[in-house]
Amino acid sequence: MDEITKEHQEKASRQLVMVVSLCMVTLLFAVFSMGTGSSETLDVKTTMKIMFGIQTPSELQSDIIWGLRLPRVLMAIIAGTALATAGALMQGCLGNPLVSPLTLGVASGAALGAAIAIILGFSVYPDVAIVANAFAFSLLVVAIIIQLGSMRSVSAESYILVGIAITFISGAIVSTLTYFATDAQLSQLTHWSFGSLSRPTLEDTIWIGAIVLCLMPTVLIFAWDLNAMSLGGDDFAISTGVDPQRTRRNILILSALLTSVVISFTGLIGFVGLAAPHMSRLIIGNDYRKLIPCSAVSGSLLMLFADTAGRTLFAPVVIPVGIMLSIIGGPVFMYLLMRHRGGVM
Amino acid sequence: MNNSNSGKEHPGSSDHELVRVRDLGFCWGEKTVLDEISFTIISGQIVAILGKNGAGKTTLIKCLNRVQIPQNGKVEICSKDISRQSLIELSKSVSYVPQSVRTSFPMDVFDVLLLGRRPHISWMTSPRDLEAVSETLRKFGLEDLAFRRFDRLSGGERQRVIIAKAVVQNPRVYLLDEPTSDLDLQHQLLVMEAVTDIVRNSGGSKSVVFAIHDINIAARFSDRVILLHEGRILADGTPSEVITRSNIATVFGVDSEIAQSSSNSPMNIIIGERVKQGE
Repeated sequence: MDEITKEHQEKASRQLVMVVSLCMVTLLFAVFSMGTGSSETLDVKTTMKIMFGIQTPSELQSDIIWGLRLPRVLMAIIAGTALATAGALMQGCLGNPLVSPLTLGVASGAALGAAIAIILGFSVYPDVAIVANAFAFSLLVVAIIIQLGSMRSVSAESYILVGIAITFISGAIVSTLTYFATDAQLSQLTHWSFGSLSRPTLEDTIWIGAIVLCLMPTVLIFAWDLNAMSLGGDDFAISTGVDPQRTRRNILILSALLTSVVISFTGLIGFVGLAAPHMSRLIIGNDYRKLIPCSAVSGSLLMLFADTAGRTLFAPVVIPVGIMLSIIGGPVFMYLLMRHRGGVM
Repeated sequence: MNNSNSGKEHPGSSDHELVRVRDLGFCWGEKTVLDEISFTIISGQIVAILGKNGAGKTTLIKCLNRVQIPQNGKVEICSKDISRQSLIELSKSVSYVPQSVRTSFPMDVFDVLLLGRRPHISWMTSPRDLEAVSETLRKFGLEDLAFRRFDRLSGGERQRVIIAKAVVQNPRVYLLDEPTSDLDLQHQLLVMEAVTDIVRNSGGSKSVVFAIHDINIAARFSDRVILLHEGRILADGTPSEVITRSNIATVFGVDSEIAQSSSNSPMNIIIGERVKQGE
């Protein structure tokens, strides 16, 4: 093996070590997060003992661990994975570093669905009114994306502009609806839009996790196509054997699904989908074969960190993860960008 | 034109005709860009598509690679109709080098070249793929840039990297759109030598088609010139047949003087005054 190949493989192993260590840190932090909360008796040690069946818990302790903390920690990991991956995919296939999972209008579709459920009391599935509506309306946006993608020669910019238009339209409808809302409904809607991990139950979490887990391998298949598209644009992609139009549409559908399945349950969480991919680009570079796993892991870690901070900083008041993410993640993100001045895009 | 082997990836390497274009027509709305274009390129040829800005050179190159889909006519590469092939299949026999690439998220030069293996692999890269990349890097004198980021390179270096990526792809036909635009004189020669070496080193089994508006580069580096004027082929032949004073006046609207010391030495075209239109 010659020098250059060797150097390339050394670089690849360094990157692998990086992702594996990030995984370990995330796992450790998840354990720490399981042992953190307002219940004094449940520290990390006791929690782990109970979870592995070494210690018999009281009924309250059992409820807290299995009913509150575990779904929350799992949901942080799942949501982080899904949103960060969606963000990385969308940035790549639209060739735009400003894009996040909220850009396509999937989230504002979900918000409109939630508002209709909360204020008008109408839902496509009244048992879980808000979630069902949010999901149904975000799927409506996915349908618009599919429709747009099947048109002839639709550019990356068209998707972004249509996404912005959808955001404006749903925003306007939600604003109109607020004029007919009671104070209680308004507060419920505001809370929904903050984005919180406390809403999904353990059962919800397992379902969401299963869906995200099924979509992730499909995502990796697109790694080469994304490399070609984000390195050289559409013409270059074609010369590498990639059909940019079709690939872009498929990737956007995939990321819209990843986004909507999460935010229908959690409410609006935006920042992780923008920041985690960019942080990963700084750590590991722009090769999507490595960037996708790295984004997924760093997204999980970012979510876990923000949620744990939100639960502990002002305890017993819990600040929703959507807010904490922007407060903590924002400055960290800016610091990283400035330190690597000009090195991101 | 001798036909030697061109690697395992081209089972049909005995095909003599690499590109066959029949009655190709392309229009943007009402405006006809290309009309009744027909030509055949055989292996070993280095073909310059010469014409002024807006003559349809870029569109023609793009029509050979399905970057643009022509409204009329048929394009065959290695005897196969390109409209009946998947892009991945097509990219095994033809590689297109755009005039410039718009990079949103740059990678290392090594990884850019590795993209050339994409049509040949499913997902994982083998040691053979990596070796193909480092071999090409050496051939193009890009070893020192292997782990530099693509966006930090100069224009000439980038152009060489993208051409090297096309070489890693190992196609039969190379399509280059204005490979020397934005380059200084020295780098123009460097890039064009790299391009012609592709054909020379293949033992005549590959061919290169490049769009160009620089008459001197066309004369110096091609062995066949297709002169494009207002969407039609005005002349097609060896450089000395095609690049004549009257053709230059018709196409470029300038007077010129053509100097050639012997029939083997490169032609030298000295551009003179602008001539009045309507000749």
